[in-house]
Amino acid sequence: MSLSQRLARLFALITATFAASAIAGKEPAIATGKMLGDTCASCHGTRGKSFDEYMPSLAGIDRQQLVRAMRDYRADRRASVVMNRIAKGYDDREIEAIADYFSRIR
Amino acid sequence: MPISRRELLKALAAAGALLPTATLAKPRGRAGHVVIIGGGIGGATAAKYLRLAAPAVRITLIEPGNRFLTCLRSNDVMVGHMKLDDITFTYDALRSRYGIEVIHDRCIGFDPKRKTVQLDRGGKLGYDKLIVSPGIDMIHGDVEGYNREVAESVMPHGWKAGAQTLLLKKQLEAVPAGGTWLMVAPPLPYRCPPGPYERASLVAEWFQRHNPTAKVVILDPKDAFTKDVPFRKAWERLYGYNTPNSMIEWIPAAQGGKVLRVDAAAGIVHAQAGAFRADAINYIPPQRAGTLAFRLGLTNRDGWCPVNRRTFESEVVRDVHVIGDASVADAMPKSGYSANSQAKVAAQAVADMLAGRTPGEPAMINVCYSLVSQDYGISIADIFKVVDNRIIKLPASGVSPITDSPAQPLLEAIYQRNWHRTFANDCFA
Ligand SMILES: Cc1cc2nc3c(=O)[nH]c(=O)nc-3n(C[C@H](O)[C@H](O)[C@H](O)COP(=O)(O)OP(=O)(O)OC[C@H]3O[C@@H](n4cnc5c(N)ncnc54)[C@H](O)[C@@H]3O)c2cc1C
Ligand code: HEC
Repeated sequence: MSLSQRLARLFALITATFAASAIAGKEPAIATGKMLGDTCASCHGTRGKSFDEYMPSLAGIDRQQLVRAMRDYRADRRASVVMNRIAKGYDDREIEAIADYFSRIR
Repeated sequence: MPISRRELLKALAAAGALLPTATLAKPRGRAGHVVIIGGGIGGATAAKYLRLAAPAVRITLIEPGNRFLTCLRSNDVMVGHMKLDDITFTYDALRSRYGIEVIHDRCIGFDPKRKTVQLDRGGKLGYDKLIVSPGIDMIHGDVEGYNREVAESVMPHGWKAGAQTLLLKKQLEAVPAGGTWLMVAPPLPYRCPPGPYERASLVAEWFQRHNPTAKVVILDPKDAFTKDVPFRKAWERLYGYNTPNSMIEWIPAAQGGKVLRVDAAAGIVHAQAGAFRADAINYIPPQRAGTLAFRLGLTNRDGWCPVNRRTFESEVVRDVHVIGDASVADAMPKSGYSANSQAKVAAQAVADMLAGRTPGEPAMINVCYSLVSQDYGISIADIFKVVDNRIIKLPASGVSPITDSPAQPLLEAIYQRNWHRTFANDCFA
């Protein structure tokens, strides 16, 4: 690899990282959808597959349905016993990451 | 796009930080061997979730018992609403479904330089990463007259499920009409902060049905406890708390609740408030990390294991992760729920480290569910983040609201009773 090629690669790496950290500068890093989704698994079942008729499964849920439900719980717009308190612990970006994760599980 | 010098320097530093990781990411020829010690809530969850995160890693779980009894809902066993079988789980699914090698033996030491653990019967075992979840052990001998023998005979703690639970049950059933059941609550930090108060509540409910003039007394070295507001509201509603006929008397530190010595033979507990004679005594002593953590040299001066809060890697020994009750986890209470959540974070971190990736942001949760009666549940739910190597609780979430709707605590009770199995499945199946 020539010097100019190496410099070009290094520059690409720097700007790519800069772009990423520019976004990260405004919005701090969040956990992955899987990591966040694992916090739901202790009630909704591993990978969102519930064993229990009282607990809704999250695996394969429609993405928008999950986003809407979580926002409604968070704003106390939807009646609930525990979900309204839990939903308050996640911001919009986290809810979207969770929705991506569960909606893709078959 | 204009870039300031400071931003450019930051970008360069970030790019530099990425380079070594990218080099490490080359496959190392084999996926590695993770040994997990302790097949309780934390250890079982770690084994299972590590398999989900790292299909090619060899995983060995070391646990002396061939079945695990959850402390979760052991209070229901004590009052006869559940049987020991209902809280007993096996390692079958971890073996067959997740390809985890389960060895029923006790770890008695390790060599962190050679990276081997020493088993009691089974010789030495090498590891690349070690995950330790040994739970707690009791501190005996800080109060005159209380010792291990007393704990195993006349003053059981019931803070590990099994024989201790059955001993408590037998003692409860033997309380004579109008007698007294006394609990000595432990100082913080201890396993399951609401557990003593749930137990006292369920004993009061049992008395209502089987021994209506009997009483519950709690001697407490603290002046407050978790969920004390909804607990005491529920005691008012159900057990006449704050009336002359209350079935529950809670004596906090400020009123002399601290115990000074016990007389096991006479069934008397001497507290600052005076001498209390009781027909059954449930003494829950102060606690520390499980003995194994001391043997492996993982503990701090307070008797708990300091860890990197993002990965649960020990701050004392490299390549060893400590999770569950034994770990120092700041705002997270020592609960099964916390142990399960920490296990998932540690499993992902170990999978990442073995694959040469830098572990990402952790996410953790705890929900402490408690029954005040079979039809009345309360809970506390918290989400946690790590900031500057401290686990902090997000300001939202929180304790069950107190409402006038009888449906709220009833629904909570229904969820809780059903939750136990879903949760155990998330750990063991
Ligand atoms: C009455 C009561 C009620 C509770 N209710 C709840 C509840 O409703 N919800 C909740 O979230 N939590 C509850 N808890 C708390 C919960 O039980 C603990 O927080 C949880 O078990 C901690 O998990 P752990 O993995 O740290 O320890 P444990 O689950 O105790 O597991 C430790 C394991 O390590 C093994 N071990 C120890 N030493 C060695 C060694 N040398 N070699 C190999 N293995 C070893 C032990 O055999 C054990 O299996 C309750 C506790 C009590 C006492
Ligand atoms: C403590 C147990 C618990 C945890 C943890 C939990 N949930 Fe729930 N969830 C419930 C319960 C109980 C309900 C039923 C509604 C209620 O009463 O709160 C529910 C309902 C829901 C629903 C509505 C489903 C439907 O079909 O209407 C969604 C969506 C949901 N939860 C998503 C999540 C997500 C996402 C997480 C993790 C960030 C999560 N839950 C964590 C207990 C839990």
